[in-house]
Amino acid sequence: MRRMTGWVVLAGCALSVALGAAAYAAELSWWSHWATQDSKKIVLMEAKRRFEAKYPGNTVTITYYEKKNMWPTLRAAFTAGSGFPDVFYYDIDVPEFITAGWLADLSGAIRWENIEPYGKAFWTRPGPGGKTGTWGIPVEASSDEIYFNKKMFRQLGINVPATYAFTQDEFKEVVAKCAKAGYAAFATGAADREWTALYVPTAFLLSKLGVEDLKKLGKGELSWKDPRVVEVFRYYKELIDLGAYAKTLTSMTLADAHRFFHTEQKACMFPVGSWYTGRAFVPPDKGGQPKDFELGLLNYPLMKDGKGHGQKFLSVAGSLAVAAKSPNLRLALEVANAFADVEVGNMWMAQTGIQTGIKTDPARIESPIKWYFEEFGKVNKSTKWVDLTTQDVKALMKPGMWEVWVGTVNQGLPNKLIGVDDALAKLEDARLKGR
Amino acid sequence: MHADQLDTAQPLPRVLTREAVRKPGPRRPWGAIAIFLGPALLFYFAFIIYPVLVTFYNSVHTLRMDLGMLYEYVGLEHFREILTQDEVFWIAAQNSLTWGLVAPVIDIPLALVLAVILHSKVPFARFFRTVWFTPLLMSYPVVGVIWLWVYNYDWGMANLVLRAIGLGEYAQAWLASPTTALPALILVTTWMFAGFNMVVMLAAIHAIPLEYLDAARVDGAGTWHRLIHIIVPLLRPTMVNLAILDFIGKMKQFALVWVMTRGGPMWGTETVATYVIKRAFEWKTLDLGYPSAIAVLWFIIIFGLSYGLTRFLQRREALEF
Repeated sequence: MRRMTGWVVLAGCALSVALGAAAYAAELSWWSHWATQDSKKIVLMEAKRRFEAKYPGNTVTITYYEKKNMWPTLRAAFTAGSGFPDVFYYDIDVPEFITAGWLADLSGAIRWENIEPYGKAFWTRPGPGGKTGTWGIPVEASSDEIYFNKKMFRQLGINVPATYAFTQDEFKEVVAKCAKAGYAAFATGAADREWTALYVPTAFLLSKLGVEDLKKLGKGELSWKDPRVVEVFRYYKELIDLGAYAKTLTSMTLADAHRFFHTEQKACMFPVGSWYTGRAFVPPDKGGQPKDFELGLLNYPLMKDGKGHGQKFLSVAGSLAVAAKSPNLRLALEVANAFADVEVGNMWMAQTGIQTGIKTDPARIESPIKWYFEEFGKVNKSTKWVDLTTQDVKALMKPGMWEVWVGTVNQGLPNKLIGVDDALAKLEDARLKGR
Repeated sequence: MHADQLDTAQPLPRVLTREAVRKPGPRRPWGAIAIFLGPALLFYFAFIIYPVLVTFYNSVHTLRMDLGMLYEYVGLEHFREILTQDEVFWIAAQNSLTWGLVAPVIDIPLALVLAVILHSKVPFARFFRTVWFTPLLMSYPVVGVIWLWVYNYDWGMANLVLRAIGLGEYAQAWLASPTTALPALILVTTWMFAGFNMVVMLAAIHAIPLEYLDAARVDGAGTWHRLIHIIVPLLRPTMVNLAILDFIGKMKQFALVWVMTRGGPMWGTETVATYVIKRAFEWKTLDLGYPSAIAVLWFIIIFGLSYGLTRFLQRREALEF
């Protein structure tokens, strides 16, 4: 009888432990961008695997979205107070999410010693009620680069300087040679992104003004009629008139532009973020560049008497955030924490070739694209990185200003729909209206 | 009155009270009515009426994110700003109005021509009816993607045809210029809705009594005269209704623009609907006050113009047959 009682008690204990474990087992949801970027998905899956191994019984389901479709869905879910994921891709496109209090403060929950200081600093900013917090894990960082087709340059007799940076006049010659040969100078597609044709003019402004004055320009503290700004725009217009952009600029998507550059090879150069590698270094049948494509890197040309020579944009891009009202907040923070590991940083670099805000140990990175890191290192040996990118300018500008910036400089100027004076007048008008 | 008449006389009418005259009708089954109408009314209120009321509310408020997401009453401030300072709104309104006025002028006559062709029992009429109607079955995103391909500068069908027939100098990036982008989009909606308008017109033509047309034929009226003097006048109410529906639909145009051009280039295809969405979701703010005010203002404008058009186009004496 006593033995029977013992067995019953033991069975009861086992059952309650099992039920308790089942009751606490959580299914977390994770919404992510990068649906078509397999190299990045490998890293996300690794983070998921690490979390699930550390917290057995809890699972993470990743749903992929195109970023532009994810934002309104997230906005609706957060506004409704239900249906939002526990963790999600986040970047500076929608800073109002932080102010609205939808993101969890990660200040005390992450192994920040494994995150680059600039990455943490990027996401440390005022949140709801002005209270400062740290709102994202900087998984991806990117710099604004200008890639070129080495074979095309050889055919056209274009020699790259030792500093990888042409002067203004030399760069104009390069554009003229490309156009004369029937190529576009820049493989830019502006059909589905509002910033792709902004790389070149923004880089020119950086070279001429330097980053501090450029930030003032973005914030509306410097006039668009500043002679230096006018000079840059006039130079840019000369390049456009030479045939810098393809006629398909407005109908090409970002994905089309990649193919235009490396597969169809109809353009000499490709001004784009360094996340180019995430799309290009995959098999050709998945949209990657052909194996024999000769990819080169340049620095943007040096504007005459410029204050920003040698400066180049580098900033945090795709990140991970946690929903402040996640029903599984503690576990969601641990999913984010799974990224805060040097091994994950190394994996990111090895797989994608893109910078990361996670600390890395370059000596331990084994990658089939080591040649790219070496080339990147050579080109950027003397680069002075500045904390901004072409896309981040949106965060500096007031919304009305950004709208006009996109309308005139991403669409109007490269399509020859507007002249420099008109474009600058519109920009100055928007600046003065302060919207 | 004589006695023998009295026997056969009709009984005197009874004087009835009003209450007695009001016949007690069958009792309405309110319970059943509520059960059948309730879900639809609930759905209608939740997804149509309530959002409209909230939009009106938001249009006179602003969300102060700096004050902890508080709503602040601003009265007509948003409307004042829209009407006096918002250049993009006026560009969008002009584009929408252009679309709303130009599209019916093209769509209705085209539909009439197609309907008359089908009514004339041309060979393969059923096939043409299906082909012309099919675009309407596709959603805006699908149509948008198809026509992005058609308008592609390098390999789109529009430019390929022009180059093939020796008009290569007219090949261009149709969506890259404000001059051509809006007409290019108007063409897309004309292609999409031609079938619907045609089918409605065809039904209306079939409803015309054959005697009218036969009588005209006997009197020596040719095809053209029968069309102009009989078919068109009798079809007028249908055409007016189609024109007004077309106008309202184009004034609200959003999905096609969003897929194909997102309002560009340089606001050349910006419509009020796309501008509202941009102000609501792409301006780094959660404040829906200003975009709601644009939506309310546009609603009033569309309502007023539609009412005016209806009064202007419809005759008091409808032709009946």
